[in-house]
Amino acid sequence: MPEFFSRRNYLILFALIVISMLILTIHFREGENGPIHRAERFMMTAISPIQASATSALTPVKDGWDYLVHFGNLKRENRRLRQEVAKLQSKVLSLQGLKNENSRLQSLIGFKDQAGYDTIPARVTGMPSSNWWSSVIIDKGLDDGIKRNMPVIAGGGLVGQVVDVSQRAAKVILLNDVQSGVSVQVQRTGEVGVIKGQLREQQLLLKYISKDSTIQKGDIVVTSGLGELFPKGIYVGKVANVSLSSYGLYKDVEVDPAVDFTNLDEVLVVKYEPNFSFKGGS
Amino acid sequence: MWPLIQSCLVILVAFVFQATIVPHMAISGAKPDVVLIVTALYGFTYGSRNGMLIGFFGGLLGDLLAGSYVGLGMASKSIVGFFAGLVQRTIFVENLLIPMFAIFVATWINEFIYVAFLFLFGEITPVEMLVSKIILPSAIYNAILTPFVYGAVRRFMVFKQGTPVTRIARKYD
Repeated sequence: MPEFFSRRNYLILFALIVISMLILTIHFREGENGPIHRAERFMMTAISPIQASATSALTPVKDGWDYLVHFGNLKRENRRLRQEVAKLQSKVLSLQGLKNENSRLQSLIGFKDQAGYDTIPARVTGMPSSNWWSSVIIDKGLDDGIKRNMPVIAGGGLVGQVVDVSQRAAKVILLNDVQSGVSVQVQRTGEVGVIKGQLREQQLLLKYISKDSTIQKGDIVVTSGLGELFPKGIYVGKVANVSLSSYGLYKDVEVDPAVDFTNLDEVLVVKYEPNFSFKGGS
Repeated sequence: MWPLIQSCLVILVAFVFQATIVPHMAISGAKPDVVLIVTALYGFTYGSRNGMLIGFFGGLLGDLLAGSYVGLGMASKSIVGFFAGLVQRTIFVENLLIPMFAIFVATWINEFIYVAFLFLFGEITPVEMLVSKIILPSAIYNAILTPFVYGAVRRFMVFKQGTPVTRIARKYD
């Protein structure tokens, strides 16, 4: 194995690692319009149409396979959902009354309704290709009014946030990405924490919930609106598990997200522009 | 020069496959890394220098599309290409189980570079969970895919062992 002793190869490897680390540093420090961010946008624009074609071509195959594999489950789920719809219909009727009462009272006290942002529907064309990062590509971009940092929802729940936009495509970092962190509030108790992804796990981690908290399974978690990166009140998920470590200051809380991150087809980009700007770095 | 361009084209095709088809091939969330397999195959066949350069280029493409940390994939795949080259000429024998095992090991090297980096950035997911949920399934998946990827790329591995970069380098020795 003569190459094993080749000093030149070690030097080349060292040089490649140094170049990689330099690029990593520049990527962190440069602004949105830096050369590496521009290259990322170029790559997204170039690959997005191919991803869209592949997704369109493979979706029927995937659906057919899912149908075959989950046929028994589908029947059971259908029966369960019918029962649930019946229950929910009666619940909706009772809530309608409460809603009317609420709007009457709000108008009395001059409450300004902050909800109801416009949304832009988009199709997911590219799913995460890596085991380590969770981001998807959508088929709408600057031309459609999408801007960086806009929140993305699906099925009534928070999916993530736009992190990069080109003319006709955008990259959305999902809530279950290890880098993601969103300020949330437990609806029942009013406590504020941070929801974080945990490397490809479907469940999310709710951090910084005090040891003395009365948080319990089934509690609803919504965005807190703190930091103004997300509008207040977007549904994030339900508390699935609460445990207490012996030495920790906080409870370990796991949250079932409202959306299935592995099966995203269509999403809504909320036209909300955060009162926050990333100056300098990303 | 042409063989090197051809190698870059092969890694480009592997990258497009990774970005478009691989997300639909996930089994319980685990996805194979075709770019990593091609990098290691080039390292096994043509030595460290080719492996490193192919890995660097493939890592750059992957980072630009999906990576949150542009540069990390470049470094990890260059290292994998380098180590793959160290066992050059001892790998490709008739028995495909050997390269499959080698790709299995290469995946562990690649993924542990990611783990180390994430720990540096304060990610505290337990290692057992990372191994059971990400590293081991990906390593097995990559190993299983190796014969298929090798079958697809070997017709493009046109230049003889020790070329072209070694030959070019010798010219300047």
